[in-house]
Amino acid sequence: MKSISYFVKPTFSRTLLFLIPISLVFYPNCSGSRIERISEPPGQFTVTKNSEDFPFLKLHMKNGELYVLEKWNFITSKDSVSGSGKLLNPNREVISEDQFTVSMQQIVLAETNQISVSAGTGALVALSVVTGIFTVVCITNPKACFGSCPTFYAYNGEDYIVQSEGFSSSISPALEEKDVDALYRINPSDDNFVIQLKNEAYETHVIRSANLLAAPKPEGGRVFSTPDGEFLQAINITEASSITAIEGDISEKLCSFDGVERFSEADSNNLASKEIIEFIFDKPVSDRMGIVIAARQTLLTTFLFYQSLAYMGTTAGEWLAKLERNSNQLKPLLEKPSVLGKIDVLMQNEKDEWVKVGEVGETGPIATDIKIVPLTKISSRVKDNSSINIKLRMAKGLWRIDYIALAELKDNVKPVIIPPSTSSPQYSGSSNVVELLTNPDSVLVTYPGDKFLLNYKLPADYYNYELFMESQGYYLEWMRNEWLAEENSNKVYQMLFNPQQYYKDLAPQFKKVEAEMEETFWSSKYVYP
Amino acid sequence: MSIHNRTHCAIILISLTLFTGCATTYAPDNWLPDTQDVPQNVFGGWITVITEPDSLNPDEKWMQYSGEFISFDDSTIYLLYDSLYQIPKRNIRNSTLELDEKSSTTYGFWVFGGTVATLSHGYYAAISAPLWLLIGIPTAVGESVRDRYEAEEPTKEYWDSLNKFARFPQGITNIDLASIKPIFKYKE
Repeated sequence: MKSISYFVKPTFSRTLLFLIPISLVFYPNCSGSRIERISEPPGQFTVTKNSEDFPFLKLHMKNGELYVLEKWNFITSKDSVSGSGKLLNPNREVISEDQFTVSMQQIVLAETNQISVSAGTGALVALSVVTGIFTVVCITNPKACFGSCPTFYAYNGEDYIVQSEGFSSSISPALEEKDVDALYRINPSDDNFVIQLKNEAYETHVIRSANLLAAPKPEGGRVFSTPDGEFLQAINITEASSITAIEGDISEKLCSFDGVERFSEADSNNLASKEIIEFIFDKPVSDRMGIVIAARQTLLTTFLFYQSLAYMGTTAGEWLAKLERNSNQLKPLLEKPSVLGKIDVLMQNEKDEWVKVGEVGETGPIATDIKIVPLTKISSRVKDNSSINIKLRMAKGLWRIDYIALAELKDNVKPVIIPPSTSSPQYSGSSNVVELLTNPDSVLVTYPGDKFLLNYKLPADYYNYELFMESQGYYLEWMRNEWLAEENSNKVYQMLFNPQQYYKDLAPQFKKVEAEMEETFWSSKYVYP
Repeated sequence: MSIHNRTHCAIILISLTLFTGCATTYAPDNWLPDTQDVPQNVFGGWITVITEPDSLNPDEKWMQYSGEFISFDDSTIYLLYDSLYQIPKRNIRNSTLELDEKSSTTYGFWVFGGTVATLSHGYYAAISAPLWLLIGIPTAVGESVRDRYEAEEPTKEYWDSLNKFARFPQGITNIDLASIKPIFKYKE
């Protein structure tokens, strides 16, 4: 659940405060009456009998006495009113309680009241039910709520779209690292390039640098980064002629980098259980090829990360401090090849055995990253001299794959590093964001809701360059109250030393929330209109 | 202004709007009946009048009188508190009659709680929080002024419309007002 501290951000709070006087404009329309009193001489009284709407009748007598009757009715034939109830004196003390028949001649005024239902209560009940659904979803499933690392948005000609999430696996100072994400779908319109840097989660982001990298493109081609941090020019980018997963042909989903993704559900018994996607590409034109893979993670890793923090509970700070103090011992545990793994690229060797030739996969469920995995000895792997088969192996339910292609590799290029030149707004009143991001000894620290525009000056022939976002830093996830109830140090040890069992044990728990997690995650994103 | 200050400021403003925007009641605690009990209530509504001093009497001051609305005639309003007060209608500059206990405080807390609960809605809070305010504030304020009859410089029509809410809507011609017991004892 969100903390109150983040409720009122400038734009949002102004909107809410603006709505208060606006809402008051409408209040006279909501201030109707619930009490309808009919008070007439008995001869003119239009209601003749008690009902659910008119349960009581009061008869005002000349001397100030009052009858209050239930189960009443006017007896026109006898010119009287009958009912059971009380007779009260002018001081409203009860004189008697009985069945009464009162002559209409004695009555000065008859009175009855109808109480209508409260429209206000109805409106608030309806509002509570509707908005309560969202509240319950987020409170009961706090591990589904939005978490990220610094998010970088770039302008695509229509709107700012999320293009990169920085250093997603750097969850403590000891794990600080550099991260490179391609701004593949962005076409700058001039040499002034703007990036929006946001903190949209319950996290403290410590950002050492946020540079643009501009790599020269080959004619008719693009530049991709590799998992090893190299930048390779690529041409002749071709889609697969056939792509098959367990559900059948998925070629249509993976033929272009368009946001249409292929993903599967996690295994019910073991979150580390693997699946295979098979590709057939036409015979490559060169012996130096690479497979282009655009993918992001599902929310499985987010769940696991939050669940691990929940198991650490109140000792999460101690665990992270241990990591800082004993980084030589704990860091290898965290950095060792994960049981979940990345996306393995498999090809057949000379003996027709499928072997791993590379891997790709960046932590984070928000921004789809595109990378290229170089393939070697292509000519020896071409089948029947006409096509080449490639398989991707990955944990079920862990990856959302958007685009797969084969590309001919050209030169290895060194990108130009472009630090931000100016920024807005100022940081903490007087500090300069650019200064903080360009000085390697300083960091920009951001909190939920912070947002900065970073301005970069591209080369004059900017259209000849492929752009990448390179960020360095780490982040600290904020504990949520709801997580503290699950503190269990044995589970933390299991995660570190027996992850195979850990992922099996957690499978049923994840399956319970898997279906709704995506929607809950994005709807709980911490953004401001 | 820091995040916390902005938060506190907005919450205080919302609270103030809810709780001061609502009309206050002049009636003593637990005197007005709940709305559903009005049909069997045997007393008059609670009336509060503000009177102007008589220009011929320099010692008189502006006064506020509150009590059970007993009745009125051509020249006088009768209200009962620690005794029966007879107030000349010509001196009355403002009058407010209340019939029942309002739920505006409950509504206020309800709206406040509902708005705060939208903090958990993430992206949808941009819709749900304004929705709570747009619907909740008019509802809470509207509840406080519902079935409340207020007039500046009350006219004959106003008094006639109040007649049915008096303890004696039939008039007091045949009633011994001296025998009417006060509803509150004056405490020294």
